[in-house]
Amino acid sequence: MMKTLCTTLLLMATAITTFAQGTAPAIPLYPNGVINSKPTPADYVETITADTHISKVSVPTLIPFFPEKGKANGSAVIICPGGGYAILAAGHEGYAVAKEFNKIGITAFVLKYRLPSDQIMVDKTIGPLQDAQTAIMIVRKNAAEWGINPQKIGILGFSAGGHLASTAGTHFNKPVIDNQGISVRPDFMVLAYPVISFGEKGHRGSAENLLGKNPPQEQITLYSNELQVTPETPPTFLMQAGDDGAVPVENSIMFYQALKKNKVNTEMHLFQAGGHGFGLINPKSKELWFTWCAAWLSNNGF
Amino acid sequence: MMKKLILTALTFVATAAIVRAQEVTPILLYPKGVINSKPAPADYQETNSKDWAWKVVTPVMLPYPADKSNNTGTAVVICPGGGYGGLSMQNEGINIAQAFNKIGVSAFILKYRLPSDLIMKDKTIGPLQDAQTALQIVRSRAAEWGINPSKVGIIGASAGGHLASTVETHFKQVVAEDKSISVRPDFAILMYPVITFGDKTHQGSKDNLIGKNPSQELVDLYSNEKQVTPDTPPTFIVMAEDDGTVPVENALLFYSAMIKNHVKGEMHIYQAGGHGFGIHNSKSTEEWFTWCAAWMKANGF
Repeated sequence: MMKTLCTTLLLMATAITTFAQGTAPAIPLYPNGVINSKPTPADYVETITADTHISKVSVPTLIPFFPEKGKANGSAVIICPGGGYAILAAGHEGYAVAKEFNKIGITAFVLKYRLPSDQIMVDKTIGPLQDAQTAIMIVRKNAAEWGINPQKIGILGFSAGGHLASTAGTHFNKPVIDNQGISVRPDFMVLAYPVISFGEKGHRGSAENLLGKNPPQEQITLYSNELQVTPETPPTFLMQAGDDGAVPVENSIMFYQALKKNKVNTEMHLFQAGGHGFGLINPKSKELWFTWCAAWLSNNGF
Repeated sequence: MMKKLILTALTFVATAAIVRAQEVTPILLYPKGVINSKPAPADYQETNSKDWAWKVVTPVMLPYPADKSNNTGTAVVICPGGGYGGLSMQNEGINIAQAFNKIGVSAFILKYRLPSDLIMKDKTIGPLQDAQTALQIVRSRAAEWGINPSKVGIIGASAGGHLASTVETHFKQVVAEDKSISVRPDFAILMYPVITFGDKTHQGSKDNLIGKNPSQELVDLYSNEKQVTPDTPPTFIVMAEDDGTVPVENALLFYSAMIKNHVKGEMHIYQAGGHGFGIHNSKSTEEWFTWCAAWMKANGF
């Protein structure tokens, strides 16, 4: 009797752990061992704060959010939370957003990506991109099983997560994983107050965390995504506030200009106020950017 | 009996016509004579179609005061577009005025003079004179319409957006006759505006306003992205990426100048909608005017 109770409790605990967020168990990106990794030091332990800030990720996963039965429209989105490439604001820039996508029939996956670190990675500059490209590959590979159209898989990112998303959207011709012949090009991008540039108007913290303190110009150029846009870059929705004190609004503008120059379909909404990091709801405005985003996705067939 | 009925009917029709006319009795900008004008040649006469006006000689404002029931005290002067060659009075005038009335904002459609050497001594300042004068009239008669004189904005579409952006950046260059009433708008709304007379300009608007061979000085003066200062009023911009008439860079140039000068503002650039969509962009299910109304409210207008 006691044994049964223990087992039940254990099962419940497991369920709570795996389903802590999401509608199904988290999917490990690398079931056969994390690529580009070093043995994780004993003190490099994943932690999560009360406000759902995750740090020190060494085992990256995709946390799935499937829409209610009969509601799915076949589109999917991979969500990259922000946090300056130092943490993941997985709550208000992750799970909360995934739930909104489910409401409009879009399957969402929150990407718990590795944060660049020499302690756990051989080459930290490509770690987050490997995780993002692997995520796209996994969703595309499993599309049929999950009721997803493999040509309707987008990526969304906030802040540094927007840097990762825009990297995924502009570097897909240079896979940093073994993509098994599967395209790692996202079909659309949604960039929310994104870090785009590592140049003059970039976000220094994100740049330093990803590339180190004195990166060669070549690396700066490679990860200044406004310089990596081509006509094949997927359609993009941009959203930011003009008074963003962390990431200059010029990041959105530079990316927009590059998209326009390359005749990529794009829409951009720049709030007057809202600052940085507001997530789904901008407290300084009565308008909901997610509604605009949903309309844009729908207008583009997603 | 029949006679009485007909008479009554006629009276009704007449009354209806008068009431209707009263609603839009034009307000002369220059009751004492149009400034900066030459006698109009016989063949230069205002023409109007159902939706457009051309060859305006006597500029007026068409008042659409807010209903008392929802009057917010805010007013806008509306500058229709038309490349400084015509005025899109319905799509970029009346339709916009009605939308503002619905949210309790009084609107005044500006039927401004189109730059022409035939009727003006200096055509480059004609439209600006009319717009500045309109703002002054709204401010000086504010009490009549229940308007707060410090909540008077300007809105313009296309070339009307050039005029509106000129008004909001040239308010220290008072070209109106009266120098005593402020000509600085309290806010501005720019719909797919012509902003620059540089590389990314709308050639037709530029040629019409400053001629085919303007001095660099004049080009710079009316390239309004170069005239933004920290005193430029808060500005709302809406445009579409696929605008085939005015390059979207016009909006970007102005917004970038605003950011540089810490001018408050909001900008929405649709993916599709083309040029001249007016109050409703049929290529999107989203209504920019709702965003605009929220923005005005957030800024106290």
